[in-house]
Amino acid sequence: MNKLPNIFVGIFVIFGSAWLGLVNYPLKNLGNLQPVPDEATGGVLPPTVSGLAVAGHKVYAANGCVECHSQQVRFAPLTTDIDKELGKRQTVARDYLREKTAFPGILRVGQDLSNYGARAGEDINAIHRHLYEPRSVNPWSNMPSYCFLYNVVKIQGQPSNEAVTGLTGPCAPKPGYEVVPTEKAKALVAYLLSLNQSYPLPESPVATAK
Amino acid sequence: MNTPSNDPHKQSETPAPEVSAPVLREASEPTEKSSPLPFWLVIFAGILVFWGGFHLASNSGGFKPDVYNPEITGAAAGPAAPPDPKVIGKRLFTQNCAVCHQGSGMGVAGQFPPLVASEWVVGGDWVGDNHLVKILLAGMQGPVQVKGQSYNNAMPPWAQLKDSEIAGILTYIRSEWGNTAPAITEEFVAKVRAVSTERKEPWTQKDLKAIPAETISAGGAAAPAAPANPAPAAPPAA
Amino acid sequence: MSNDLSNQPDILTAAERAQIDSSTSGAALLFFGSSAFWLVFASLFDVIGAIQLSYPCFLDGISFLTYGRVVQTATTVMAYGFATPAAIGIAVWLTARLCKVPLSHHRMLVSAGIVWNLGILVGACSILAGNSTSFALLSFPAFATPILFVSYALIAIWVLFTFNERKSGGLFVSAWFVFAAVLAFPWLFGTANALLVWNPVSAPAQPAIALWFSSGFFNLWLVPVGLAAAFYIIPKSTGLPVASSNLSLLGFWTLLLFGAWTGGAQIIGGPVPAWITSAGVAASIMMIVPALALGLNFHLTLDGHYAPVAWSPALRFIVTGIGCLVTYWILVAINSIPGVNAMTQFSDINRALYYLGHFGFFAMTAFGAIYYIVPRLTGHEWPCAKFISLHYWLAVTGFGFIVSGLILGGLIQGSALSQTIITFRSSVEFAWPFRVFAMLGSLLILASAVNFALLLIGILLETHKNQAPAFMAEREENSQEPVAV
Repeated sequence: MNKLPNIFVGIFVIFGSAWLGLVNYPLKNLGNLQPVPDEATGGVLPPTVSGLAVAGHKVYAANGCVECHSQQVRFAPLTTDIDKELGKRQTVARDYLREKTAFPGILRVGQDLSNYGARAGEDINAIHRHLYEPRSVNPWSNMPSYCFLYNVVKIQGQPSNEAVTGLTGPCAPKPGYEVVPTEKAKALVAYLLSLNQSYPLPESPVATAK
Repeated sequence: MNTPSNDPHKQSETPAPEVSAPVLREASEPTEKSSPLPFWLVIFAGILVFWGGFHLASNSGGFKPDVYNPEITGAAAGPAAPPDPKVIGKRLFTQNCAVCHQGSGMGVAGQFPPLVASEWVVGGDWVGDNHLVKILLAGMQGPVQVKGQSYNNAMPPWAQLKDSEIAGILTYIRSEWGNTAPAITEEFVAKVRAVSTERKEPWTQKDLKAIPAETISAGGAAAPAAPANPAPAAPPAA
Repeated sequence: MSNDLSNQPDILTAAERAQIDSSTSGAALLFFGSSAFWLVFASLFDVIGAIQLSYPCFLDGISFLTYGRVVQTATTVMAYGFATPAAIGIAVWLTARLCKVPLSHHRMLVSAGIVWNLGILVGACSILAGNSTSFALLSFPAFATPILFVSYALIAIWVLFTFNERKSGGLFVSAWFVFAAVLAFPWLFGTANALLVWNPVSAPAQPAIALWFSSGFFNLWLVPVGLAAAFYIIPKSTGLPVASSNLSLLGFWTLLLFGAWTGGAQIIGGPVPAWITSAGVAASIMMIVPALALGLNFHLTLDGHYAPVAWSPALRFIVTGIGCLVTYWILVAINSIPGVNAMTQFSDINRALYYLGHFGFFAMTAFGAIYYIVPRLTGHEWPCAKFISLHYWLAVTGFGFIVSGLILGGLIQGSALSQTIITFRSSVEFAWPFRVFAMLGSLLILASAVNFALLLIGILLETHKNQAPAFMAEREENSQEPVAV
């Protein structure tokens, strides 16, 4: 074992086996996953997302949201993710078909977002308010403000119907001004709302109620 | 802290003038002794490797790419529960049937018969569940009597739909709008389809009446006048 | 296992060593100097991120200083601006020494080093400008990484060429580690960039590949280089032989075998097939074998001769680094037990382990190696021993604060995150004081980085004509130990 060629062969076999298992295997077995037909709606699962949400995914990546937010529900009973209502079932590889890159995340400095779209509700203005100034919604939040995704503009005639309303305190715009989301902010919100795993997948059925 | 008093020239080598002090004072190139491995470390490593193999083997989920939870193995990891046939039926009904029979199932007077409380849908004197399936498979034309009213138009065949889809539609119309007839199963549709392959043109009321009624009898369903084969789940005739 | 390996007589005279060193000095000094610059840069962003985590209003609302971009800049520049160039510098110097031949084409390596630093500059600016890929340790966008890859290819070719030119005789264990690392890095970096960054594969396949890379980057690239330096410099500084070639062999092969598979343990219960996480758990726990074999080997080597650790900068930093590595692997093994991981996953413990491995082990070992190597390349001594002592204590207390704070805080945060009745808000509030404590550690690390950079500037510009080797502590007059610096 003391000759360089022998060491080379040993290293090659060891690296090669790990490469086969952790790179080639996922590539072959998960790289070709397709959405499954959804008999209930005639569509596919996971559902196709809008172009705006695809653009929002880029905003999510650009601002490093993955540094604080995971996007994975772990299985029960080992973990309490499902009990804590982060989702109804375990996240599986096929769920990431919605996206160009998968961000399972390794930290929960912030909330898990795998089912954000399912719990966010209809109030888009509230999501914009949260992104614009998180502490106006949760005073304890340590999330950064994404106010650079918004424009503070002077109200010209009628206020814009897209303007973020309900901002109070120091982050509120001056009288006569309004906070209008940029395309990036709108895309990010569309992406966040597309995060929804309430549908079942063959390899991850929705957990039956305990 | 700093003790510059040491002689840096500890080595016996002849100092070459261009060689700097740090290089000169180095010890010789390192070597290794070849003492044997400690026995306890070998045993410990063996136990760990054995445990590692055991852990992997017992939590591998069969090395299948679609097993994500090693605690669910074998049958429990099987396919998800099939979707509710009524949900499928409602979607297909809305897409294909509501144009004529209306979303309310009330039909159009004189042309398209109603489905609500219709003896053709929930079963009647001579009408069996097999007739209902046959109508979907081949269509129907000409005058037809429903709840004492006469209707005259044509219904196209729907044989291109899968057994499960036909079962879904029929189950839906038999349980919606106050109808309470039992569900039509996929197997029942398959069975009827198997014996109806020769019929290509749409049915007429007269032709259908010539066929003995069969029914899918879950509890409470009214038995037809002459059930030829009352067992719903019986295998299709060969 | 053959026993006669590496017991070659010392065939290098001081003059030959000097000649070998002069062939590597340009490239190694360039890599060490630039790594010190990027270390300060990365530490600065690390501090900004640490402050923002506890005081979110700090530099808030500025697009290029938003927390996510700041943290990715800090970790990525730490990995490719500091750690990788330091590893390359050490690997190049060690290769020439171990193969006992001067490095050929060292000017090529200097150009490669310049290109490498341009790549880091482009990459760091593009993360801050909002072009991050957001993959862990792969955040540089697709237009920055090819620069790094080409530069690395130039380096690896000449390192492997030097291996080919080596003088006959057994290869010392350090050479094995360098050889494995030099092969592992392009394999990891090339595959991961090709599949995740340049032309991303379908997203469901990505998490497993990303974890294969991030665990391999540490276990198969930084660790082997750090260990190679330790295996060379500890005997060199003390004049003692390595205690057991069999322990070295066991450590080497089990490190590669298990280290390559550990990634899955970071995603237990997550969206990868169950066997990948089970393999990761088994591998992470079996990493105790190389941890014990290597730790024991170093201990048996130094047993009874620990005195030079007090005064030799190289030994002090390297022994601290090895201690951190053994601790790191044992903590990773404990953290990989599924029942424990269910609670600690997604908590600050992940960050604590990152600092313990990348800073506590790799940076400390690299500092030690640089303290040993640079005087041999420049031909003069470190300017100020007190400054080296200060560097050591700032760094040790710095990562000590971070690691202890984040482990304690992570345990509390993790149990809050995993208990059904505790709200998410509580997990943030519980973690707060510990994050403030870790933030102080980040500040100390920034100070230590500045300190280190000043020392390096001092020795490169020869600001103090120091004739005596730099001792960190009083060396006993009658000590039988070698000079060991």
